[in-house]
Amino acid sequence: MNARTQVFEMALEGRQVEEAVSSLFHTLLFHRTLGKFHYQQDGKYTVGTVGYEDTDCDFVDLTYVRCSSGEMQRIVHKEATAFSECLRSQERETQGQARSGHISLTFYQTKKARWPFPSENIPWEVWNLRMEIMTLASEIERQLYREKVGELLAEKILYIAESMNRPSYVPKMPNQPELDLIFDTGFVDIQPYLFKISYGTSPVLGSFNMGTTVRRLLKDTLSI
Amino acid sequence: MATAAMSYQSSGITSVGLTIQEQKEIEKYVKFLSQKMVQVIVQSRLGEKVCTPCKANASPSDWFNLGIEDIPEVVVETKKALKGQLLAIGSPPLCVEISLKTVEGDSLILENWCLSVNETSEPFNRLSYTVYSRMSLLLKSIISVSRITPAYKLSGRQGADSFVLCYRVFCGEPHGLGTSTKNCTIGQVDTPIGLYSVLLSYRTQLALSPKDGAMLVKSDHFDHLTTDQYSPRFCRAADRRRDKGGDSSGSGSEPVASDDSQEACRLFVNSPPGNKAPDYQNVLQQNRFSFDDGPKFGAFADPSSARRNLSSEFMLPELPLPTFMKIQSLKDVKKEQERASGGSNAAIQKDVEITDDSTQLTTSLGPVSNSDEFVMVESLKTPFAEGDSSHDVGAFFRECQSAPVSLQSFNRPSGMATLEIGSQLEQFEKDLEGYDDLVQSLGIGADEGGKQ
Repeated sequence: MNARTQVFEMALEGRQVEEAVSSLFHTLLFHRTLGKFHYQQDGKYTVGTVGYEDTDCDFVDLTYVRCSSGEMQRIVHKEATAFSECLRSQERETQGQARSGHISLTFYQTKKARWPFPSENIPWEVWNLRMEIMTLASEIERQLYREKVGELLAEKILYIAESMNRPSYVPKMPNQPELDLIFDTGFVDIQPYLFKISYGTSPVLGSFNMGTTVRRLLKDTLSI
Repeated sequence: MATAAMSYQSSGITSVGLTIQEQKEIEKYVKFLSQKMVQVIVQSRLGEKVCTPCKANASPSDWFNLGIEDIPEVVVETKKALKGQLLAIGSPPLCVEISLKTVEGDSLILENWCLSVNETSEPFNRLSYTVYSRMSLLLKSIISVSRITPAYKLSGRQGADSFVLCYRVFCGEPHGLGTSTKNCTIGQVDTPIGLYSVLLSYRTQLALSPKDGAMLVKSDHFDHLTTDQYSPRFCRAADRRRDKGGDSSGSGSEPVASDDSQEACRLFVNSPPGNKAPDYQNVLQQNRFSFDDGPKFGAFADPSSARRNLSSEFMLPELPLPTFMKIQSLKDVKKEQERASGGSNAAIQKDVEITDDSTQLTTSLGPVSNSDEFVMVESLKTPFAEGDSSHDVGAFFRECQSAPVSLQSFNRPSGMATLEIGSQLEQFEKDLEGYDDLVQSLGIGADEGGKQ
């Protein structure tokens, strides 16, 4: 099965990277998070409540909504900050030359395999952010770019909303024994679909091919 | 209670293949989808940051497993708009209109959110959790998108002194927003009783064009000048949350709407305690700027100035002003000269007689103080003068109170001046040879000096 893939490209300042990644990833995770499942004896289950909160950006003219879960905020902040630092350190090493990198949010499901083969993670939705760091000369340019990046991210958020609501594949609601194969049950107050965040400084391909997919599956399987 | 688990009883089959229980369930879903959609849109325009907690165990009022709190007034307005009817195929869309209103009373529609229903795209034979979860997803999308439109930024800058944002809930076709508009479909949910879609239309530019019948406004016309002087609030959300009690879904709460008109726009302004929020007029009659009604004031002008009588305030008082430029006949000048000095006026009379034939009334005399226009204060005596002010220092003081009536040098007849100059020129012409010899002598002397 091929995962549904979407690539976003943008050029922005180094200090805007962390907020840009956070705004888009939190929007995605907000859509892909359910309340905690509580199964009952007869197989029925109840679902908890997902709270949300507004978040203002400091370097981008944008306010976005995210799950009001501290655990999720820490995970996204950690990855986004690490990616931002990675890009900016490379920019410093190359003395201000334009640097690019990518960070991906992948939703996957785990498929158990028969012994002795390990289970495998099969991505079903991948969101890639390809970013290029720019160096702006004046404060006026920075102010203009603050608004421009805000508008750009707003367009992405609108696209995410429209995309999420189209009829597309989403893993079926599992039974209790298979809950961990579809959802991340490690959170206390929420239950997002299984996801992982990865990043690198080399450009990523816009579409999958068979070789890349196999290599990635093997890599993901061995890493988890 | 909204639960993911459903149990059905075979009590009957509806026309769409659902049981009676399933039919009631789906109708309840649609009803609360409408309610929650209006809630999240209105709450996003309060100008306040929203923060609701995640709960491992849901509360009975947490429809669609989302932490959306209910404002009772919004619940009432939504019910009024729906008139107790279910939003079904063939019924007009449920619209939430967000508009901006200035302190001058002008209003501008910023965006329209519409929940419409059409024929379902695929047949349903049972109600599954998928419909419920997709409705939840649709609400999440509405929540996310409501923060990216221009109206959201304006909501954070509103105040009672500049402008406020208002909302209107109604069933019907939304009003047009002009040419600079963006339309987008947020999402769709296919249900057994119809395909429900949420559409958003919003202005991309707040500047009005003359085509709208109004004057041009800068795109930052409604921006706040300073943020520390205003407390931008759209609704007393905290007060309303304190006031509400019991069933938060609004079915058992007292209606707090102050206007029973369905088309009235609800004004939410967190004005200081004791201040009455401005009354609202029918928004249908004020959906466009109108600058035809009398004088207007700037967006940030003091509104109390509109109630003052400008004409009385700016009317200049009638003050006695001296006549600075007065045209007098020479005869009047003569009389004043005789009155002021009493000395010999022979020279003056001579000048007056010579010029009497030429001009009479066209000479400007400079600043003249007309004694008739002033009240002489007798108590003021000339300093250092004797008791009688008609002699010496007193007379001199009076003469110097104003400029002389006429200066003799400016009263010389032009004819006399012409004669004098003419005779001088004739004399120069006679002496021309002598002047030439002088110049030549000076030139020869210089050459001899240079040679030496």
